[in-house]
Amino acid sequence: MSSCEGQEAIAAGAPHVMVVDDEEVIRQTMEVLLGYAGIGVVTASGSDECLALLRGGFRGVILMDVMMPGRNGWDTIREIKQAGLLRGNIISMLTAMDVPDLQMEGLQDVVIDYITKPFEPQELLASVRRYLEFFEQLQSAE
Amino acid sequence: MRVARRTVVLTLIVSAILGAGVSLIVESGHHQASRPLQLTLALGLVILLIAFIGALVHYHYSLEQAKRNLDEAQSLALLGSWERDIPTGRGYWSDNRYRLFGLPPRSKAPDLEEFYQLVHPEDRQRIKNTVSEACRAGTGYEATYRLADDRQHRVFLSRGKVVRDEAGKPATLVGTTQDITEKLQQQRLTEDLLRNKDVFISRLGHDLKTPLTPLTALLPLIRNLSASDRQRELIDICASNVSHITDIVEKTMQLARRFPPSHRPLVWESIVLKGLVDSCIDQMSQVLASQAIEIKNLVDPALIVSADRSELYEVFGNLISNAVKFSPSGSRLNISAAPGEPVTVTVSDNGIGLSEEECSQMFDEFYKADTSRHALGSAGLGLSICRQIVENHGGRIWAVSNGKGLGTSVSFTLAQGGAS
Repeated sequence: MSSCEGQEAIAAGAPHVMVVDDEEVIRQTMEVLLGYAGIGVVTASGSDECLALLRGGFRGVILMDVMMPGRNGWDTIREIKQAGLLRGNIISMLTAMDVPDLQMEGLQDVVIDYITKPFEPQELLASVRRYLEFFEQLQSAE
Repeated sequence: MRVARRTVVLTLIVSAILGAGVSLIVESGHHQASRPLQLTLALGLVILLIAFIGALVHYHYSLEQAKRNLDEAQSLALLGSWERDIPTGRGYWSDNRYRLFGLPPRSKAPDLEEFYQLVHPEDRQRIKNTVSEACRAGTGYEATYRLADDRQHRVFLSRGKVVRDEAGKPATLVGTTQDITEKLQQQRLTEDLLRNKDVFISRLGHDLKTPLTPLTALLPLIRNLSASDRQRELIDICASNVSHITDIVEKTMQLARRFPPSHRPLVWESIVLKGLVDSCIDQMSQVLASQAIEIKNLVDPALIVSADRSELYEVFGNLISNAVKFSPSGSRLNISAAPGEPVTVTVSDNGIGLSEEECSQMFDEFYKADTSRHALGSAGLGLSICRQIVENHGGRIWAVSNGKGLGTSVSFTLAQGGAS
């Protein structure tokens, strides 16, 4: 697979996308898809692992599932916000739900996009590259 | 009240006739000369009296019959009627209202205070306020309440209206009381079912889309990694089937979510139809170009319709993609609209065409014109979604074709909109 435009923009080898999803098959799929596109990936199976990765210093793009057991995607984002772990990270929802979600009330300023599963791989990659560029812009502006 | 007045009048008439008859007979005894005439007159009056009494008896039985019918109807409808004189507080209750309240019928209906005591303590003050306010303002009211000590926990709906006297003052409160317990239970059951349906659809959608994600995402990758044409060919078959399943899942979800129409209210707005069609064509330009389909938007730029924008967009998306699926490469599609109330929009193609029977069935769920072909990419649901949306808008949709190979026109109606 050819390297992508986003790849040059980010530091080689460092994970720049975090996939938060309770379904293992989705985490594996995203690892393979983004990995082949040359984008570094880490995965989290839920809220706790996501927060642990952020506390561990993760910076980049977060692709967040909505329907997860326990604390769902929206709850997790609220927790990230409250814990002061947003720090310029970009969050997009990646969900199998395709109806407007009332739970996102109050989080419109934090979540920049809403990708629905199943997605066209090329469209997903194009979106992720856009988010990465935006993340880089935010970093250089700081 | 009116019946009592009528009875008095009738009694007076009967007494007058009877009096006249008797006095004529007495008179005839005194005046020998006019005796035959007076006797004839007296006989006539007696016959008139008998006829009158006959009419009265008939009237009485008709009234009884009407009362029985009304009582029967009220009993079937779990309904009671009532009337209350506002200045005196005196009232009348129909027999069935007594039965609904578990009371023996009485000649004097409970007064307002007695009635309030029958109402559940938690509802009492609210009902008092509603009735007082209606009497004060001279308007009508609608209120639900329960009864005190009712083991069945029934809910009643009372509707009342104020009738004014000749001077315009509130004179009488008339109304009905209905046992709506079963209706409320049915309503709650329906609401629960609809809520469960939405949860079920949401979960089913989630559970179907999750396993489709790796298939959709990874098959193109596997195809790129494949070494032989044969492998790529087989992967293409898989990919096309995956895309077919995805289409069915998405469209089924859409259909299920839109039912019933009241469950998802429309956002009405005035829309410049030509602009909406243009943006829909733009979005589908890739598909249209890949099939070399030429599409013409013939809609008048001044035409404005009233509809839910995203729903209307969905209709055009489905109609165009359906026309593309069933038109050979290089075909032409025309989109036009005839102004009026309603506006009639037509999407016509010069594709495979349809028989009359197919035209009438093509909006049914999972219907496919060519059952032998099992064309992938068509779930047979796109047109059902169109019908659902158009009907939710209060319009209708239909298809016309001159026959096989002669193209198809799908038309639907939309309400005309005001200036946007």
